[in-house]
Amino acid sequence: MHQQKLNNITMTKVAIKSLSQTEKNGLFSIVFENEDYSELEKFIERFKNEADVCKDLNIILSFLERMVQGAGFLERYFRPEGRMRDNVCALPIVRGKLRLYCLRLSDSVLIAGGGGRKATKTYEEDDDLKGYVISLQKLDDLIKVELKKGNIVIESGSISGNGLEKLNL
Amino acid sequence: MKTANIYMEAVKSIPAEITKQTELSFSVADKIQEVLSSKGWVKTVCPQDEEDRSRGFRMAVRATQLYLAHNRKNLRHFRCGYTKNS
Repeated sequence: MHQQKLNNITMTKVAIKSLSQTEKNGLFSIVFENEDYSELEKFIERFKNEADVCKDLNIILSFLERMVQGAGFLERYFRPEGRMRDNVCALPIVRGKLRLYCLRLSDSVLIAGGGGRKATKTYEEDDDLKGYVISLQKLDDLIKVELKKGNIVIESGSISGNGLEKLNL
Repeated sequence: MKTANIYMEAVKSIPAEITKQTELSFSVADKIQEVLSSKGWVKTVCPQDEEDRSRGFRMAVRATQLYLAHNRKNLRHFRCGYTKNS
């Protein structure tokens, strides 16, 4: 079932939606084709009314907004996840029952992916969490290619360029 | 794609107590960075060598424990990936 889910993601076109922006920093999230909401918004909707994780959700959101309004998405505020060579990371850095997986493209640009309950020791043991990480790793690879070609530009707090239209996971 | 921003709405309803805790977590992370930087350790994006990475991590742990003995249980992840700036 997981493989099928990943195969579906492989065929899907994604858009990047801006969720919070200041002069210096920009928080973005992925929106899959034919979906109304971004992955971060779906994450919020899924857990905001669940009593046992509501606090954990608020901690993650508080971290995100503090980074947007403050010093930016510095590496030390995130859990390192994925492989050493990619930009995948997770929140919160403190203990919590939830994980939100993100792509830290620079100190001023963050793309939030999906997330869920952390019930296993590693994300690899959970098919859903693994799926979120893999889709972010694929997006990271695609963005790197388009950056190299000059089709995507990452500047202070923004990501732009016609390469964004070519993102097919 | 809907334009309503669920994120911004959710951020508005974060309890003040959690915002205060977040400030504390950030100040701890910033303090660790400051302490390690002053000792010649820098956070590296991708240390290539496994042994360097382990050594950097162990030294970072030691430095952190020396300078920040409190609130240890939440510090582990702040210390990952430091290596000596040579």
